[in-house]
Amino acid sequence: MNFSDFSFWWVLLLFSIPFFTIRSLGKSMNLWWPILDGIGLMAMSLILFVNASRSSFAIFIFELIFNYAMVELMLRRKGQAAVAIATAVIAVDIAILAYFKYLNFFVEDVLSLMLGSLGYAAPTKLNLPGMYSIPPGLSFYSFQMVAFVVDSFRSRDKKAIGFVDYVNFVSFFPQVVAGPIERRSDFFPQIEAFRFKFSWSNLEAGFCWLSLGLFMKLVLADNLAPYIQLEESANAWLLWFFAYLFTLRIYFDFAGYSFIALGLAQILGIRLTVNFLAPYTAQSIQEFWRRWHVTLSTWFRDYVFLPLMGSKKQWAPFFLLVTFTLSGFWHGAAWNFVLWGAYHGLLLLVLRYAGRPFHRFVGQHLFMPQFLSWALTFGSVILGCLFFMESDIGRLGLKMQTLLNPLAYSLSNVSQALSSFSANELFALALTLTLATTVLLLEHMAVWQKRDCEYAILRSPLMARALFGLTILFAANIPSKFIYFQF
Amino acid sequence: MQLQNSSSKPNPELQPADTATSVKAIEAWLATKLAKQLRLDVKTLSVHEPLTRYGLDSIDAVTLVGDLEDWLGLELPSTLLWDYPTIEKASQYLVKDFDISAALAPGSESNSEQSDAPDAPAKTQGWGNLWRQISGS
Repeated sequence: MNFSDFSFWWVLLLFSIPFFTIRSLGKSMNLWWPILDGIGLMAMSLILFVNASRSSFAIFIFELIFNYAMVELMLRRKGQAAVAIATAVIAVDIAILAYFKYLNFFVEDVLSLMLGSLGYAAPTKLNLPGMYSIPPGLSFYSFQMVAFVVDSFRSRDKKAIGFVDYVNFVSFFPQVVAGPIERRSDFFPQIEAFRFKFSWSNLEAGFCWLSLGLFMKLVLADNLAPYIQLEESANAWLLWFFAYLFTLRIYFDFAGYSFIALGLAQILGIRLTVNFLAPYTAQSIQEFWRRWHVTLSTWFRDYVFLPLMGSKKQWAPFFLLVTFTLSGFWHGAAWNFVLWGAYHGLLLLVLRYAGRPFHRFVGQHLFMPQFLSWALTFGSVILGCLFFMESDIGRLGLKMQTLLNPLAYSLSNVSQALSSFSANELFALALTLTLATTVLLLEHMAVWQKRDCEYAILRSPLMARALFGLTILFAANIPSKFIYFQF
Repeated sequence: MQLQNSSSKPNPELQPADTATSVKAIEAWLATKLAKQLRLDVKTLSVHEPLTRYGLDSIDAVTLVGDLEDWLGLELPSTLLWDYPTIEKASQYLVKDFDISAALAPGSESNSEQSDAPDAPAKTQGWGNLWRQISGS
């Protein structure tokens, strides 16, 4: 769901008013069964999904019915038959994802590269339906469905799954399009027991998440977005600066989305997984990956890394690199994402095999090793964002050359960088960066104080109201698209 | 987080004193093992601090759980140190959800010279084990 889109809130309101009116009348006349709450939630989610994307909805409904029927069949079978069903369902889910997301990349990039190296002509462009636009949410709901198949297969509880419960599990409107990618063990029991319960504590907690999410997205991410110029490739100072801005933007954009989802779910009495845990407070890349896009990282850990490795723990570094490269590829069918994934995998290995001795040495000789660890980690993440933000692989090469060229760091480039912004632009940017830095500092403070939640200060009742006020004051006039919608 | 293949057996009969002693014993074992693996001074480790702060990565996390399985003679979730990311939390979880009395009994095989014990044959987990269970091989 596009929370920045007015139609989302409008449709939500148009559905909610008649539905809750009928519900309260039904309850007053003792004609409201609990199952109707589940059906109401299902209708709400599906209507909002249709409003968000009809093409994606059609694919989603097919996958939903297919997955449900096959999981039900799997639960009634044992041994090899159950394995065969689980394998078939996962293969179909991944095949649908691959068709829409990766087929043209394989044909136009990989195949062209291979045939070109052998002296053959590149294949012509494919003109299959749906090839050049990824249905919104496909990457997320496919992964959630796959996880459900695996978890149901592994589960000792083989009782039948209610159709309405399953639909609500995979289509829950706050998170169906961009996560968090939820798991059966955490999320399904909440769905099975679902009732609309608008308690004050849920409304308050939900508002605090919602307020933080809206502020991160509409004020910070959307006000940073216009400053990031991908075309720049000659000025090293600007390259670093834009990469820094993008690093901030992608976090505030995606964490903002996740927190809005969390808030909406909390208002309905559902607790979703906190998808970000103040990743920019991390003092190592390992720690960063425990804090960044938590549900995707744990998905790859549980369904790719650990099963691939099995008992071959001596091969763990290799499987770690493979898993990270795949997780990069999940973000999009482009070389820059593959590079980004591999870069983070390599960083982890470099940190393990070279960084540890170095860190021990530095730790004994420097006054603030913690600060240094944080700065190096944040710097590495910014460099990674250079790969992530640039899908033009030729221009990415140029940018890397610029960054490695000492002459690109000249003083004239500093003045050129400064003169590329008007006074008004500089003022607006300085204000946005001040607010962004304050948010990051408050996250750091919560971590230093060992609070239960990294966002404890930002979610305090007073702060939530202040952030809501700031959102009304400073929300960008032109909202930018959620970055993760393209994945 | 769903635990896979765990041989979890809660131990409600443990007295509070026993529980505290068991938690301390596992904390000590984990701290010693971590200090050795990460080449740190064991005195600098805090049981309350997230393990990633000491540089624990995914590879360490899975190998350490493997060592812990060998020591306790139990099958543990591979994601133990992700789900319980401090020495204290991991130890409390193990004492609460598993029957570890045999492993911690004085004179038990696993309780003597744990860190120098020879490696047990590796357990097959993941898809390999799944296939083995199904095919019965």
